[in-house]
Amino acid sequence: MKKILVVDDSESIRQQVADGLTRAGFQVVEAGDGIAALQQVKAHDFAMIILDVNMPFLNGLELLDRLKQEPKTSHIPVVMLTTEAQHSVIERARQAGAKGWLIKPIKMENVVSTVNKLVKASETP
Amino acid sequence: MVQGAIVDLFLSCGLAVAPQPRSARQIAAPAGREVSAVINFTSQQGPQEPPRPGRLALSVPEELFALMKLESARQPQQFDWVRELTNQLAARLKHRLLPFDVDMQPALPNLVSRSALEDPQTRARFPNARTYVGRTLRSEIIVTLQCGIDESRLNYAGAVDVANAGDVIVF
Repeated sequence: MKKILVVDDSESIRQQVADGLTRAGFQVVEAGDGIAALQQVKAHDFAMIILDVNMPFLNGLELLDRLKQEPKTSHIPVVMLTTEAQHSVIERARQAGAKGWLIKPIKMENVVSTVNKLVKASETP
Repeated sequence: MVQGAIVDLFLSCGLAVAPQPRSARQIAAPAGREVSAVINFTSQQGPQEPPRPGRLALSVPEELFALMKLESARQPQQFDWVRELTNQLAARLKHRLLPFDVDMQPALPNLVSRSALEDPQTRARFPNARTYVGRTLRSEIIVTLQCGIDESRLNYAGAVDVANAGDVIVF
């Protein structure tokens, strides 16, 4: 079963995403901030990471930079999940290596189809 | 702008909200329990102006949480959900202000009590606070906006490249 890391400081959003992805056949690990997420990526092999942007301690864009700089995690597809909708910020994430951008409020069918698409694409040599 | 953001936010949770005319009534003390959150922000009205502090507060009666439609088997904690709603409301307002050359930068949302919201010292810092009431079938949602944005200088500066709430962008 493929593991997905969901990082958001809102427990409600983590629950919603985790429930939807679990129903879709994924195993979900949750983290409430960027520091906790870094600990989780050391302990697990993730097929994908879903990241909030506005979080305490280490925001999602900073965490994205760290993940892409680290050889162990640079290959993992990352999708940002956020209220931010300015294209200048979205472009910053794309250049940093993010694979997608989901704007809250989310529809779980969109999240699941995006995760399925990107996980499959990352497996294709 | 604020009323539109409130209506759209709660519509996304399956809750119809009718904004009340701002001059039509006084805000009464809530009849039941409510949960409130506040988000601080800075707003810069034009590139030459200094950023000014502001805050946006959202109070939701407890009974309304059961009416919101969420795609989760588990009912979220009310305190966490109201923080998230405040975060999303601030983002909607931020994006609506961008075409008027106002750059709003929200911080992280926090829970707040009504007494803290009505603290005289805080109110004195923001003498031009505005309160917005949204009526639902059961009770009222209250939003308070305290900021240094000068409404008389809100001039349309042109469209800004902003995606829509709920959009999915795959690179």
